[in-house]
Amino acid sequence: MISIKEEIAVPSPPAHVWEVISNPADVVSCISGAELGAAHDDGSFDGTLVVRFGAVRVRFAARVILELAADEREGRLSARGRDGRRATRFAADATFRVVPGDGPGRARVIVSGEITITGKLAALVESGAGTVITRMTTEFSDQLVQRCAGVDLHPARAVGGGGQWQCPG
Amino acid sequence: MKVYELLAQAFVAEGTSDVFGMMGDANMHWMNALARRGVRLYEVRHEGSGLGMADGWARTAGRPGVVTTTSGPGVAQLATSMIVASRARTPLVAFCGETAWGDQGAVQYLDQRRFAAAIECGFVHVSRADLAEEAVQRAFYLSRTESRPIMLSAPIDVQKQECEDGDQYVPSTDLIPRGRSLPDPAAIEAACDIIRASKRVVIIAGRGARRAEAGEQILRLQGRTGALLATTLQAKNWLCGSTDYHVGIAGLYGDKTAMELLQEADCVIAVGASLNHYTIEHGYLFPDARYIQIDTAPHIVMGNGAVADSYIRADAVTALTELTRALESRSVALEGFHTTEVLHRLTAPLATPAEFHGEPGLLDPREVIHVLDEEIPGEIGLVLGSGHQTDFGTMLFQRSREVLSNYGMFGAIGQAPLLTIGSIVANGNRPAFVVEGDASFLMHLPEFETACRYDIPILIVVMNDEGLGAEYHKAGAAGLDPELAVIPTPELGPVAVALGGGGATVRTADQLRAALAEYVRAPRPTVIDVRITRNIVSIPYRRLLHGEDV
Ligand SMILES: Cc1ncc(C[n+]2csc(CCOP(=O)(O)OP(=O)(O)O)c2C)c(N)n1
Repeated sequence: MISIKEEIAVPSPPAHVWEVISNPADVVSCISGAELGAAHDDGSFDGTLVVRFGAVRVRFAARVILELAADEREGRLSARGRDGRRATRFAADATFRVVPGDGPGRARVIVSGEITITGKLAALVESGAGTVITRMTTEFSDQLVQRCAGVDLHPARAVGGGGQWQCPG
Repeated sequence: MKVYELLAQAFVAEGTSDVFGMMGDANMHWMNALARRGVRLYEVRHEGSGLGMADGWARTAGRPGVVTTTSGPGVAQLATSMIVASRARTPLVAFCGETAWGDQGAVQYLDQRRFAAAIECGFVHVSRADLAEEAVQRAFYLSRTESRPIMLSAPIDVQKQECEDGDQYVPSTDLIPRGRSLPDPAAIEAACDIIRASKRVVIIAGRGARRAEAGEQILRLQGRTGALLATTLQAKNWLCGSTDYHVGIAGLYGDKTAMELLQEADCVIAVGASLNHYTIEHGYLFPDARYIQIDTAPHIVMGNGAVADSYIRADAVTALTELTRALESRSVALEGFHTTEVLHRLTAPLATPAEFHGEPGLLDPREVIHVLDEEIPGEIGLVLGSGHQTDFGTMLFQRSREVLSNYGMFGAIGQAPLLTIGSIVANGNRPAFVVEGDASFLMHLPEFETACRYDIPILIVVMNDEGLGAEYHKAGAAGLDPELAVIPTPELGPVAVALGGGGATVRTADQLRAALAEYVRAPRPTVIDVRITRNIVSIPYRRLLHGEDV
């Protein structure tokens, strides 16, 4: 299991940041390698994410549920998915909250969550996958700041990470 | 005649010429009988090491290696090396003495049958004098046909019984049909259809293809299909001098260009390669490919849990010839990967001298590999050792030469020098070198003395980072204390000299070149202790521990 705890300082007003972060299309555009798929009647939607573990690309398909509490500016995201070869599954649960930042017109986004990877790629979890996720989180933070500032983001592309071997030795 | 003589005679009839091991009460009569029959005996310093040598012997000779131990404690020493040989699918017979049949109170008693099962080898018991020859035949038959180690366990009282002279022994080879297996035309047809519908073909050549000497046929199929040629780790560098479109190893040890190109494949043709999860990264390396597999095994489940779209069970040479002929007759010819752009990407150097970063008195391990590859002629074979350091050689050795890797065979450190000694003996004492870590080499240091005693021209290049490099780097990534994995070593050059061989401790590239030149001029048992920096992390470790896209 990999834990995420992140506080992202965004130089935009909380209301605006909430607007961005509560919109799945906007959030997805902040995650490189992610694409939004069909929306379902129960409010969930499909998503795909291409992750680069080492030099290998792995494409995950997931069912994503987003629950929003606009009053508290708090959201819960959960995703369950697997890769195309059905060799690896993942479950991700995260909560995020937008709070006022250290000054007018500034916000902080507090994210905490857990990701569990099982199956063939799980050997990575020892540290490689953790590093990949840390990198993705950092990238997400940067993209979120830019998106809130109204910058148009580049099209999705894959991000980096390890193979699924045991370290030799 | 005594049973131990009959047993020895049967071993000779099975082609046994070299036996590694250590004498004790329960195998010494048999060893004496072998010596009288002209078999070369190699007295080692640890039975497990002897097994490692027999393993290397068998992997090179392609027929069963032989190791011997006395009862109980001698057998117990075999554990690690036996499991390695078993995982490597090495044909091997371990002649193990046993305490007197039924005497469970004997000091050296061990339930050898149960022990054999635990260490993953087959077991044949010599329980009666009149069944002794049959037992030898069965042990060799199983080891050859199942390609695995078999323990032949012989109680000392049975060995010492009188028996009839044996003159009718039928070697196990007489029981094994030798014909070639021909490909099923329907499978060839299916393979042609797959290739016809493909644009980017990759051929992966494995140990089986090299053993079958199918190089020429592979190159013809490659030309016809515009394929990239990759190898498994076991066939590293094979045919790399014969085609410009060689991408090296498929899997974690592939360089970035290889990884990127391989992921574009829409068809993979495996020849004598099981396509285990190492080679195809559980299938992730070939997300869009269909598979054609040529192998002699009855059936194979690949490392992605699936079977090939077309499985051609046949001898490699015959199957490749048929497949190419079928493609020719259907006028199927692809440009595939054979473009100037791909060629350009493949000719970029892997690591340039400008990138080498040693420390004062400590070499960059990549530079060490570079110098070794330059200075050691291609006729001198290579064995890749263990630990973190092995990643450098596995990725960076470029010269076409015989390469043996033990990666993935139980992951025990320290086996490589033993495998090298056995391999040299099987090759008629042709020189070979092994690149090994300091901890791995020191684990079986006494066997360097064995190499000296028998004048085995092995060169051991110790990539000495004075520590357990693997743990050092993993500890760093896991937030543990790397210093706990630092272990100082004495200068190993003088140690090697004291044990009766040649030796040098080197701290610069020039010193390394000089030491290598001396070995190459007159190969003899030699240790070169190369002091390397701990600051360079291998590409596989960077991928696995740090998720780097390198
Ligand atoms: C028999 C055995 N014991 C312990 C290990 C754990 N282990 C894996 S790599 C390694 C370090 C080997 O050190 P060295 O041979 O000096 O090579 P380096 O990693 O420093 O390059 C150890 C102790 C193992 N794989 N096998």
